[in-house]
Amino acid sequence: MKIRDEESLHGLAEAARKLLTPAVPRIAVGMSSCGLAAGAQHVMEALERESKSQGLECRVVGVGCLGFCSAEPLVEIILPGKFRTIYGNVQDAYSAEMIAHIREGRLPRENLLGCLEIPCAESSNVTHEAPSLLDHPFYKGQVRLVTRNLGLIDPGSIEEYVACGGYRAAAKALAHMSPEQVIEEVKRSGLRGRGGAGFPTGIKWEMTRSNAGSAKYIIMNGDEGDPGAYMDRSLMEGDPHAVIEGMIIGGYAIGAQTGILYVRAEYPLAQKRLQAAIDQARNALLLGKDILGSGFDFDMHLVSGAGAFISGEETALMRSVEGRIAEPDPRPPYPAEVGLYGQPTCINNVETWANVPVVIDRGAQWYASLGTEKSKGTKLFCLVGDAARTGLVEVPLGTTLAAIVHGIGGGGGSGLAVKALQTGGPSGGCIPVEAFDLPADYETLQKMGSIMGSGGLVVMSERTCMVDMARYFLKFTREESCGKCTPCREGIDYLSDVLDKIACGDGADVSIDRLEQISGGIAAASLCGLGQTAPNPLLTSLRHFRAEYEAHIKEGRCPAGVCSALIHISIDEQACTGCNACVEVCPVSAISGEKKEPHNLNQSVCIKCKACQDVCKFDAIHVE
Amino acid sequence: MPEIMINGQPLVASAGQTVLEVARQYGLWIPTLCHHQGLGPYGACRLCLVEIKAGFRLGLASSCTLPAMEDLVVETDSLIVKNARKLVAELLLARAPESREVRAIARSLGVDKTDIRPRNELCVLCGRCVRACKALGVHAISFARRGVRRCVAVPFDKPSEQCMACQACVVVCPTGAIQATITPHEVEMVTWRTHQVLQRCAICQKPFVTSGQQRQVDKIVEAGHQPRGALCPRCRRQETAQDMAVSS
Repeated sequence: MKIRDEESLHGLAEAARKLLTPAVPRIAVGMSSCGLAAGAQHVMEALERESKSQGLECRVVGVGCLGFCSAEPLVEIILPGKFRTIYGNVQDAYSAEMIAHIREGRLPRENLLGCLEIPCAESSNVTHEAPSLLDHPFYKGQVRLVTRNLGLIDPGSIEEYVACGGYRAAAKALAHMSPEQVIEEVKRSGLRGRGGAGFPTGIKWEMTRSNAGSAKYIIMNGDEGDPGAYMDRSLMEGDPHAVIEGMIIGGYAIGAQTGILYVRAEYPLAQKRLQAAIDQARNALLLGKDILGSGFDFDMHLVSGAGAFISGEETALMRSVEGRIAEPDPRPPYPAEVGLYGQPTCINNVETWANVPVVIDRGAQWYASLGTEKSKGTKLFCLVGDAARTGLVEVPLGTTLAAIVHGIGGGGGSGLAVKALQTGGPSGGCIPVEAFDLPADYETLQKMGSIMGSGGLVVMSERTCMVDMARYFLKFTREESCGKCTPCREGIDYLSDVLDKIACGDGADVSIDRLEQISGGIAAASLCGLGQTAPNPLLTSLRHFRAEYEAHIKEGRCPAGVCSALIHISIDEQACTGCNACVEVCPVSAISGEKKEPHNLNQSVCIKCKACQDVCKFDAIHVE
Repeated sequence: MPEIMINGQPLVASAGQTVLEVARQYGLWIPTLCHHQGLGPYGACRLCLVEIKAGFRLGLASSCTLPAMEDLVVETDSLIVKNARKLVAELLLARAPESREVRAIARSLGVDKTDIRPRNELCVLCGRCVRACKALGVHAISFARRGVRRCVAVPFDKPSEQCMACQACVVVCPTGAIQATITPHEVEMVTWRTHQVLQRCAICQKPFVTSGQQRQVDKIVEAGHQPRGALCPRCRRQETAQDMAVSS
């Protein structure tokens, strides 16, 4: 299969449509890392086995992730002439029943989440028998633009990508637009860097284009390392060609000859799928010489990350690609002037590149109609933590935090009240629930002392201790600081030590004002973004939850009942029914008691893990 | 020639100069520790921070890495600069309370003591040694590990084959953290766990160069320009002078 020009692309798209509007049932299993962790591999094998043994003629494929993590494994069924029908929490034991239904030409009823249109199908041809997935509370309010192909196409199939309009934007840019026009279009779209800082993408491209160099490079930053963030992984694993297409367009606009996909070493599946997609694109002549007959030469290769969080900082990333230690360099000069191997270089995050085909295909004006005045388009968020529904969410920028957390996420899980939200990972800050009517856009989050970051949203319930939260993130940045500059290396280590002291009940002599002063100093004096933002979790939690710190320091009390040195666990004899559940779950055998008799807790053995509290159905475990 | 403003004073900079260089040229004091004239900009210790008031992204920046760009307005002595430098000095003092150099710099910034718990290191990770070794083309030492566990090390902490015991690292180290022992027969780089035998001058028999340095010199010097024999600088000068006297 060769794609030499727009016409052959069009022909291929026509021919490939049958893959998604099949004559036999198509059963797709979400096989990204998240799905695999939830057991998707077993589900897929069971479905294959059952379809064989029941004699069902069908196609079972692995696809990317639809994003609904708390409903994994996800399975999608397309019956001939029907919509996409999506099922959640599918266990391998359910596969026999599923296949039996499909064999009879019916859709299974259990575990049904909803149905979706097939984007490349002529809608008059298809009928649906289930409610739309877009009416499901998790998907209501989402605009699936960048994630449109996730969970639909097989990431290993360039044909399925093309069938859904893939490489149409690249063909449009290369055949009908000058590089300057492409840059102008991206500028007018208002697209800003999705890696966190939100720098206008078009301006970055223009700067790189205008700087002279013997070569020019573009880089995809796939070193996603924030705890709880997996937007980029989902894109790379679920729709690798979208990123490649974005980079072809970017390379053309900037005048780069080489693209580099820098993917962290901890993402082996993303690396495998991207490499396969690069090979397919190259075989299809979409990479190499004279792409799509435009005379534009461009190729790309994949570089594996070096296993350090700091490699995601753009100057450190370039050093890592060069085979040197990943340490940041001061700017100026910016990568657009002196970048990889000393040449002008444009680095964009995975999600930014994946936005580019959308901008070119649908046009800047349409794209700019989404979002707010200064933050255009959609943003992927990873809604994790104590929310009732968790997963990968795509909403227009400016959607309120309440709509994301309470609407899509369904508020706190297990009946717990939501207390706050951590945005932007270890570089971001917490936002209290009282401020959830604020829109999620770059400027608002910054005003709140947090950042957009790459898009991690950690929901924290009343059972989260804010001291413990700040302690966790500072420990993370302490481990991940490269150690080059003094404030970040020594300062964060000190803050982390002090938070340990507070959490362990040894913080009576700690001055909160001094903590704030040192945090502010580290933020102002550090060399790169890591150190400049590392104190944010501490500073914002001090701003909004100072009373919790004071309770730890002055009263030796952890109000959320988390810091083990400061809590006391007891069994309420009145409430305890003697069900033995806590006895069985206690990892250190600290609880004893006869059945139907109130149990006893041996305080000297108890490690305060609170496993007993989680299993007790009678609220008999008290944590104070 | 770019003109910049430092502390309200318009100053003319040469092309390619950093703000630190301009300030020093005009006699303005800015404290530094990781900076070394011969080793290029680095920006790690953060003592040389200045406040950018206009002309670039506002806020603090290390003057040793900040190019003197046209219309740049900086302050070297504002409150925010003072406070940031004080914090850096405190952190350095806590790291290396025994270092005279660190204590002197801290004192000059008004910091005599700190409540930050001491780490009792001598090395402040300024990277001068690593950069000097690199500048000499030897690359025997580099940084290892990260965060507070960062240190300067030879590969795998094994006796180094690259180190030629030239002691450039010892010379540039501001805190005396690198130990070398010199005997009449050899130089021992204690910190890098390496020994190099001293070569003796063919004429005066005095030791003058390590065998590793000799090999490095042989590598760099063009063929035909090597000094004859293994002569110490003094004897080489004498020989050359005699040659000139004979040929004239």
